[in-house]
Amino acid sequence: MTEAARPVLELKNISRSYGAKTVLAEAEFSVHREEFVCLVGPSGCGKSTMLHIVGGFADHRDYGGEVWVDGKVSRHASWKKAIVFQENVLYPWLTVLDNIAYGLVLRDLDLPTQIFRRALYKKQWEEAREKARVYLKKMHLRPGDADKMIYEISGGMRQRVDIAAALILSPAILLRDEPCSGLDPQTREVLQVLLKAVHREEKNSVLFITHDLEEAVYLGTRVLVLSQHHDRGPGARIVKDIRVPFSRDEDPRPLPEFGKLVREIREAGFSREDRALLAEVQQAAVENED
Amino acid sequence: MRVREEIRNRWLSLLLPWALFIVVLALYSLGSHLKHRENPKDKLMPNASQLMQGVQIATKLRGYRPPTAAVAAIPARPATESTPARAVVEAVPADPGSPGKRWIVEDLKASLTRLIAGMSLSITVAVLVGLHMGAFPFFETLGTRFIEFFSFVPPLALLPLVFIYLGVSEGAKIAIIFLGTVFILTQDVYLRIKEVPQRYIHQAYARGASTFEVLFKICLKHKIPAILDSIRLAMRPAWVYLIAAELIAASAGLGYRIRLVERQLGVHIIIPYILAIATIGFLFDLAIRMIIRTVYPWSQHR
Repeated sequence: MTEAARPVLELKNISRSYGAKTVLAEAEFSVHREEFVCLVGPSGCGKSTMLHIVGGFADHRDYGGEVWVDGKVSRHASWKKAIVFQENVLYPWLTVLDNIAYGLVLRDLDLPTQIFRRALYKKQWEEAREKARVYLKKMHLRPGDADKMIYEISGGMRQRVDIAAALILSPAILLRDEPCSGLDPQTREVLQVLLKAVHREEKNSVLFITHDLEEAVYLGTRVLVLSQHHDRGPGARIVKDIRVPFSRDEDPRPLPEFGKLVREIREAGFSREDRALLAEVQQAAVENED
Repeated sequence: MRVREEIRNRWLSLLLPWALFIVVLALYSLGSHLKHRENPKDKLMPNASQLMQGVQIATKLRGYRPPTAAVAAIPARPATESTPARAVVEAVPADPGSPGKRWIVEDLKASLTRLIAGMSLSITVAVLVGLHMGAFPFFETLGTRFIEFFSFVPPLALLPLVFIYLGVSEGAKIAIIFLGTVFILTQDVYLRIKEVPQRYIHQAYARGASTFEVLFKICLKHKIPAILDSIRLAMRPAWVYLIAAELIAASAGLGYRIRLVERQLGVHIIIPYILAIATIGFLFDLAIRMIIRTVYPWSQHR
């Protein structure tokens, strides 16, 4: 496989069980360059577990299968798999700009430089800050916000800072965990539009976990459904892998195909009990009419 | 009044904190007045003038000698036939005099030096040990049972041991302050470090940090205000052990002075000393709270 065709992220046969309970069973998918893959699924089906494994926060002896990043097995957390968590991880003692620049400092400066070569350390901080200003602009944050403290800015802005802090490292893949839950609808809308625009400009690869299906279809180039409600035994698997056919340049939401796709994805995630309950309720409504 | 109902009256909220002070003062004055009516020479509840006298005694300058250069001005007389060589008066060097000491100043110097030395040692050990215990399950399992067990030994019970091994030196008193505070501080630091949210650590590693960086630049940095707060709370037992050690065996210091004047029923000196101790403790506490508020404003509830 050529360099360009090789997927950025590959999950090979990931399985995870806690004692007798199987959470993930033979989950397998890959993310290619410049793809925006959205992973959806009912709550509790193991999306977070999946993210932990992909991010490298689980000990590789605790799960089966392998995670490959850029053609190599990846077992530990690394800047190549930059992650942005649901609740922000922004350091409250640093300003916005410093928070964005901090990733570069953490990654590129080693301890002896920090302790013994203060001048070099300061210089590299300045360079990191310059680069951070660029990313500040990319996330459409104002230059005036650069010196604010984290607790002074809103939740939506904090998400943007967190993303900037991750993108500045030029990771192979960006992992995002339900970033828009907990935000009000207006902020979500703004953030979604921004995320799509940034992806178009940066052309980075993203693995985005969410339970909002409209968001997934709007943002993603591909949608994967992780669900434990299937007939192939316990544990969640990828039950559907859909390529989103809409153009990235226009808003697909008004199109009727959008709604159909969302419905299709939603139905893929129903459990047997869900289907039975829906049928029952519908039956009762029909009988009431008579 | 309903639970959590705020005080509406501004004067009330301004004056209320002083109310109990005034009540105690009034009760004491009443008691002192009654006792003095019975026995004008009462020493157990000193009245205002006796207290003033006590303050004077504590602040009196003792042992002051002005510098005398007069003797040096006399030149040495050379030996003559009538005066043997031995009788030559040699020039006496100028006497710088003695600056004199005040009880209260000497005692404060001695006590505060011991307190700061003991606390510094205690804080250093507690932070280093607690940080590693909170961050690495290896050190956690190694240390928790041990530290918990020995934290139940009352340091005052260790006093005799300390005096046996270290005598009544400064080191002994510093050791007592150290032993009295290090266990609680270590446990506190350990618990605070364990409170660092897991995602902070995950993300730091995901941004390429080394373990050393995660430990000091993220875990510790995040919890410095909480640790300062623990130190503030640990000052209370530190004072207790300091005074206790000085009461038993010291040659200078607040506790020493209190025991010294106890023999002559020097309540009029003891009460000002106690008020001085309380004030200093209060000021330390206030200082740390101010530091946290100004240097780490981000730690206040956001």
